[in-house]
Amino acid sequence: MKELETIPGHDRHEMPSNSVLQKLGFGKNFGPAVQMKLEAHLLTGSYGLGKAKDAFRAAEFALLKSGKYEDAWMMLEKDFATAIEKSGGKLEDYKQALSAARKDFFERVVPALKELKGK
Amino acid sequence: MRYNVKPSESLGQIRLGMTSNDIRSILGFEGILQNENDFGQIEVWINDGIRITYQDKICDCIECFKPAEPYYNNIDLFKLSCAEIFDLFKSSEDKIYTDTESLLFLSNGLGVYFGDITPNALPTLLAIFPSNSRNEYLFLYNEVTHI
Repeated sequence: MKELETIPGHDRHEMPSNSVLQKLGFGKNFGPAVQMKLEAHLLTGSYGLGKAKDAFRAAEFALLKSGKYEDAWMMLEKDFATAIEKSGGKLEDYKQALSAARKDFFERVVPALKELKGK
Repeated sequence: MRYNVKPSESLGQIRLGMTSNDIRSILGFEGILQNENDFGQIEVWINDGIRITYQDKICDCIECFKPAEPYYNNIDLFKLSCAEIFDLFKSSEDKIYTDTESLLFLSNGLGVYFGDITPNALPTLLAIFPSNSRNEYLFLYNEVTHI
């Protein structure tokens, strides 16, 4: 996926988490990402350095490793949508970016994950 | 605002083990961003640069980002590079872990996010959590011996 330039006041939110994909054997920034306002990013489950972030990423890792790609994406999209809503943003503003990330995940990342799983 | 860092204990007056009400009485009851998921509750005071996560309504992680200024032994940790922070804490750690974006000093109860683990990278997020509290998730990390 094309490298995202960071918009001021925004963060790059990887879907799935960058570190999880790297743990599964891929390079940095292999997965799709969406620019989120900082206040929304701070409310996502995969953000931060605490145990809750580890638990979130462990769940991502388990779903991807076991081939439950739809479940993994649903978890990520729900987390994203909730964070936008709770930060006072509008999910509608992210519709196009989220749709592009979803397409990239299922058309490029999932086949790569399946190939990895088959090895 | 300047906060004194006590790894595995506190950031300024905010201490691990506090309730949301305890922390609100310190940081204020207004302008709090909140969320909840299967893994915990989150509260953010964005203008103070503070993010708190709770497990069972008890603070289990205190995080700070700019404009907060986390001081440890009179040093602003946000002004140190990745290599300098690694060197600062390595003597008191058996093993230091990374997920390629952050460093975890588990014995100290301290985490630092850089984005990239490169010698000159500057931290953008610092976390205080109970020491040796997450062994079940260490499979997500790798040991790092030098920067």
